[in-house]
Amino acid sequence: MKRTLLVFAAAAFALLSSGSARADIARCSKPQQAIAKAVETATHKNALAHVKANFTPKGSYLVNDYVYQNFVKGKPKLGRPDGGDSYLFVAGGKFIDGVLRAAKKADGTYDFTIIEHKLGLPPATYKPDGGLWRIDVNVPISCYRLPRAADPGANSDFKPGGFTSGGVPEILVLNGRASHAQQVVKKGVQKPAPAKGAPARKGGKSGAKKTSAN
Amino acid sequence: MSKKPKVVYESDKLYKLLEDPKQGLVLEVVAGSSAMYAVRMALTQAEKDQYSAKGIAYLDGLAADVVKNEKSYRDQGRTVPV
Repeated sequence: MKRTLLVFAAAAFALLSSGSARADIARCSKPQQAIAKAVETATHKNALAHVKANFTPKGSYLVNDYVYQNFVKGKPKLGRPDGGDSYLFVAGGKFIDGVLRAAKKADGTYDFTIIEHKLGLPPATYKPDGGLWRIDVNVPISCYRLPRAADPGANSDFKPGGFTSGGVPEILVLNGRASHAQQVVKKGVQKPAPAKGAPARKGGKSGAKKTSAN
Repeated sequence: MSKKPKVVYESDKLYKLLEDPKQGLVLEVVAGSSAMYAVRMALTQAEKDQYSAKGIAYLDGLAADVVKNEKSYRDQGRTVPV
């Protein structure tokens, strides 16, 4: 009996000390769990604390309408497939709320130059008449970890530790699924309003409809 | 009216190879991390030769390089946002 208890205690200790009891990375594959631990050791940052502070209840990313229609819509997993996993960088949901709030103009349209600036994109990346989608991901219930430079999608400006070089909180979600996709800007909302007295367009797309981001 | 480019190859790694009537072979790549966008880049003759020799593996590598260094490609005037 004593021997059985001793074996059980040793097994429990080994399980706990191996770190496999970490619930936050339990949804990840064994190789991804190993990478998650290695990144945290190298950066002295903790993904769980980062998610609690910046990605609860959600993380978000933005895509223009062309990317959404051609590369996102209808795909079973979000992000970049590579080697059996699908890699997706997401920013903090509250951060994206703030970006969209700052970019929203009095007439209800969005200034893409502000969005590009705050997210570190080169100017004129998003065409003003191209539309923009916000996609939300339920990060706390996904497999996630701090990203590293070798992850598909990381660019040459990548900084380790969970924040971009511009200070945007980011986390990597593996094999994620969209919890919500919302088109925050539709085509044409940033085109200059016609001058007073100009004839109204007939028959064509008005392009003036939009949905709110908040 | 200009003709739409024809899709020659579509990868699940978020890129396509297009045949454009004016530019020839064009790589269309989704770049960006938490803010994603697509860019197009006409292949140089050297890149076409490499694609002929190595096939899809070469395109995988070229597309990954564009994602990693898109700003640099754009500064050289090679990539254009879609």
